Amino acid sequence: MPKIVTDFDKDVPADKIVTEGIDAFSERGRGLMFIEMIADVAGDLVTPDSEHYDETLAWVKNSLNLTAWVQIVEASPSVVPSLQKAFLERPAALKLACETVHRASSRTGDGLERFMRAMGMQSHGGSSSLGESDAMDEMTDVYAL
Amino acid sequence: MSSNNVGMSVAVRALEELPAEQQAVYRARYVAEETRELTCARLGMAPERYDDVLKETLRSLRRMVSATTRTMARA
Repeated sequence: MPKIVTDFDKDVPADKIVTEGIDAFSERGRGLMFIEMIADVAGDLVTPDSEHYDETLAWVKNSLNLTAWVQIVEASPSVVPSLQKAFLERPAALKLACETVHRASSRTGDGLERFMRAMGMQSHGGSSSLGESDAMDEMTDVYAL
Repeated sequence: MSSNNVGMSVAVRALEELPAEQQAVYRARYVAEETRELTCARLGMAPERYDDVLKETLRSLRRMVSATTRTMARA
């Protein structure tokens, strides 16, 4: 499996820039991909006996990886520290939230918005205005969907 | 090109590197936004196999896409 090295600065070689196909990715499609990527990671981290646990834990601990995916979906960079904290401190709750939001997103199409609110993040720019307890309240709301 | 377009460019390139079965599921789910049931029927794939392929696809993308240390230093 080849490794795609991302560099979001200007140094991406011109021949590596893809223009065709980008428009096919809708905002909803990107949001769903991001949520499912996060849910998949969270799922690995609640099963320490799984063969992928160590690999996934190492992936989470390197914030570069989360940053890369946040840039791909054009989410707020401020989500990264919250995601890392949630992954490492309460992966089971994060997994449940992701799964619930994913189900909701299939109906409403606003899964990414809900997900980022559940993580205590604003979804477009700026930093979080929600404290930890507010974030947990949001999580409770998500569970109740 | 904005950073987001570069990001999507990376996602498209990663998609093109996936094995054929993973690429088919990825395109159906995130590009065509096709339902799991419809994709399974179209590809003649069991739902359990679809779930396995999707999980492996996300794992493949995680392995393929990473940021450079230099990018982090400039962030």
